[in-house]
Amino acid sequence: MIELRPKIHIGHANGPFLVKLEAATPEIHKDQKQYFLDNYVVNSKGDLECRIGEISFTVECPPGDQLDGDILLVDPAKPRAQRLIRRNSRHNTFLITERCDQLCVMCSQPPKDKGYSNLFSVYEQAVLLSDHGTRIGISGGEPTLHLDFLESLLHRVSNDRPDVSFHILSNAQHFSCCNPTTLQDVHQRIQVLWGVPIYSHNPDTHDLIVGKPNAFDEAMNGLYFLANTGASIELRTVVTARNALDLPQLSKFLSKNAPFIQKWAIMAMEPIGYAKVNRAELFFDHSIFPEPISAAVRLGELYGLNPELYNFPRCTVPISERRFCVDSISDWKQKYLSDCDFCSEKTLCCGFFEWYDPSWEWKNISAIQLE
Amino acid sequence: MLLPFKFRHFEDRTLLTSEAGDFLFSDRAIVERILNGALTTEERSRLKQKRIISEGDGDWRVKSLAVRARQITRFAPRKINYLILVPTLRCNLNCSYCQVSRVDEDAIGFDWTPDTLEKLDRFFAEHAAKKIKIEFQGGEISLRPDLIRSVEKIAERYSNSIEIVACSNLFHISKDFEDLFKKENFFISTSLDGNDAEMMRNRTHNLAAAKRNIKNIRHVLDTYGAEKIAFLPTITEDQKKRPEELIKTYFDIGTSGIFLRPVNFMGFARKKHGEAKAGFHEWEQFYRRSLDYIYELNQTGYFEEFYVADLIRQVFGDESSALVDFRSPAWFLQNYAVIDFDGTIYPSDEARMLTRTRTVDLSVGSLGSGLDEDKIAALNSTAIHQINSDCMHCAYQPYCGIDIIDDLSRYGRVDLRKSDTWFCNKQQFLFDWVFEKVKEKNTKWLYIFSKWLFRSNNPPDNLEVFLD
Repeated sequence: MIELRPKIHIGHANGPFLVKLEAATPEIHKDQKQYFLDNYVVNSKGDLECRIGEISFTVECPPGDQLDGDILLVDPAKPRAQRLIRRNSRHNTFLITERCDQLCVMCSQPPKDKGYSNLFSVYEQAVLLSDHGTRIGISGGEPTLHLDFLESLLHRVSNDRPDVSFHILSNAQHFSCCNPTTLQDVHQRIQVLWGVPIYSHNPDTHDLIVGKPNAFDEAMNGLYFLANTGASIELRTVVTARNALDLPQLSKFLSKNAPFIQKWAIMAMEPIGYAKVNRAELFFDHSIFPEPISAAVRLGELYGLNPELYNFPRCTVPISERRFCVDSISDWKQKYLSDCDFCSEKTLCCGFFEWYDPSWEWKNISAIQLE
Repeated sequence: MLLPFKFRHFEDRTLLTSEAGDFLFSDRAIVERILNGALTTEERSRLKQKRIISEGDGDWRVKSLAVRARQITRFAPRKINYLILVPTLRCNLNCSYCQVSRVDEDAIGFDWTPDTLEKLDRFFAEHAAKKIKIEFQGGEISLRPDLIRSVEKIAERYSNSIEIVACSNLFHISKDFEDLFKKENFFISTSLDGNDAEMMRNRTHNLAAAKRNIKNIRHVLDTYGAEKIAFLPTITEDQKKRPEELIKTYFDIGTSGIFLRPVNFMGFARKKHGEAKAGFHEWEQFYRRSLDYIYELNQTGYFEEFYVADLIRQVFGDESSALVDFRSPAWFLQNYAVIDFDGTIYPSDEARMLTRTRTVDLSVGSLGSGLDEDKIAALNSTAIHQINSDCMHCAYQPYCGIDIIDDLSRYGRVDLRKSDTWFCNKQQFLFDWVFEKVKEKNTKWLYIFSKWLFRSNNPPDNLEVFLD
């Protein structure tokens, strides 16, 4: 697993600060100079010895990793820094809040009564400091519980950094009072992909899964709101035993009711959080019963929904549907099994979640041999 | 809030369809319960899913229907992407059902001239789509392969993707004509009515010629592959009694299906095949028997009847059909045009025939004088079933099309009650036939539907998409 909180050694400092682990160059705008290092050296252990103004500190480099160009939040009062944006990753995500108005039965990060509004200005600055073409994930909790911040962040970035793109995960429940003009404006300037979950064509099943009455209708209304602002939309459907059989019908439903989406991600559950707690009623072994998923992706393809299979190791999917599999698991929580060393498709495969273990075992897993 | 819906009673069940083609079956009292507000919670939820009930004006269902309505009715500029050309009316065969008032091979004054090509260039400049399919009808185009080349040269100036289909009888393949077969964007469509005896009866009038005709077809298949050539049968009264033979001929030759079109009540066909009038039920018998046989063939291989397969892709696949039979509005001269040997422009090949037989003048201009926009507008006012007083009540309206040319050819008018027309009866029969399989959950047939939907002999096993 990739270390997102490297150890730090620091003397005195006046409270938390944001820093980009890169030496300042003359091209950098004067407003941003304060966030760059005056100089740094890599010592014999590979750690970074940095100096920024009066402050000196050392960041321990996690084994096999690189910190150059990362954007860190350093709190001198804490033994570890927070890597907000990693230069070598496509999986940089900001948590806006841990709160959520839905309570999905398989939630991998169950909501907590904890917000991050103290970090909002840090987030915004970090994005402005990021490398050219950076892609930022926005997640939660439910980010649109702070729609005001989200809109102002997108607005600012779309003005100052049109090269940056966003992938925002939202349940689309909170747009009913939203004025579409800000987002219309944003969507014209920068790429924003909105990932919205729909779990079934049947409102009752969807509502039951997300634990909120009327959530399905609200999500559909939200999708039409987003589509109307010119948003790119990725629908996300996590497969559980409760909705697996609905997938083919959901495919037809989406083709008729959400033909404007860019992508349909069908996702295997992440075996952590509530998924693990509720394993008895949720676990679904697609490796021995792939039919509804096979039908759903093939229909989705027919309907032009661009279906993709997320978190499905290739060996667990029938050959005819493997082309839909995507290497989707974020680097910092991805692993492979010992069998995978013998698989000819390992490099194409998403592998497994770090927390995949014998308590969550799909029956048909075996190294794929070259034809 | 109740949204527009339509229904159709089957023996024991009622089919409901939404404005956008969502469907479900229920018991026969469902409509009364909807209108009396006596639905169960479960039923309400199901009808909401099918866009028959909404949660008020601002509801996404209303928006989704509005989006669809806008797609259907929005103005789109004229872009001809399917152009039928008749560069010569001369033909070297005299088929009993010929619909085009062909002329003899050595007749003079029935071919395009350099002047026609010049004017065609202007037509392309004004109306051609970037991606275009050009179909050469006749007459017999193989008599003038040079004109195919000339037309392609013109097309290349205005379109960047050009597909050419030559409708030829393949009675005689000259070297000049065959040279075209090697081009990747060139395809042949030919008539195949069955074995050599059948081909003689309908087409060549002598057995040696029929044998030569079939030999030529074989030659194209063997040399250029099955993708190079498509076949079209014309089914006469005689063949209606035993469709299996004809279908087997097609299956054996390795094509993926057959288009079981009935003899059009037009052109020469009207003079010699008076039986086409005989009515709809006979055709229905023939069609059912054909489908039964196609069912058998699908137990081992892949074989479709193009018309019903197209319908299935329309209902379950959301695919928009190229056939006017499944399109509405079916605007004339929008994507499709026919240009005759004398430069006259028609909205369809059938319209050309009706004009040539002096039934009704459906020409809409000429290469010389341009398009007659008033006439096109007048025709267009009848080409929308959404505002037709019969169609708007029909459960199949979301999937169906409108074909006033067919009405004109059969009845000489467009204002007959639709349910009294051959077109409507044929459509109703086919939709009923399909939805009965859905109602009965006839998995054997539904699996064949799935093959046709995916155009594959190995579709997904899961048939949920065909059920309500």
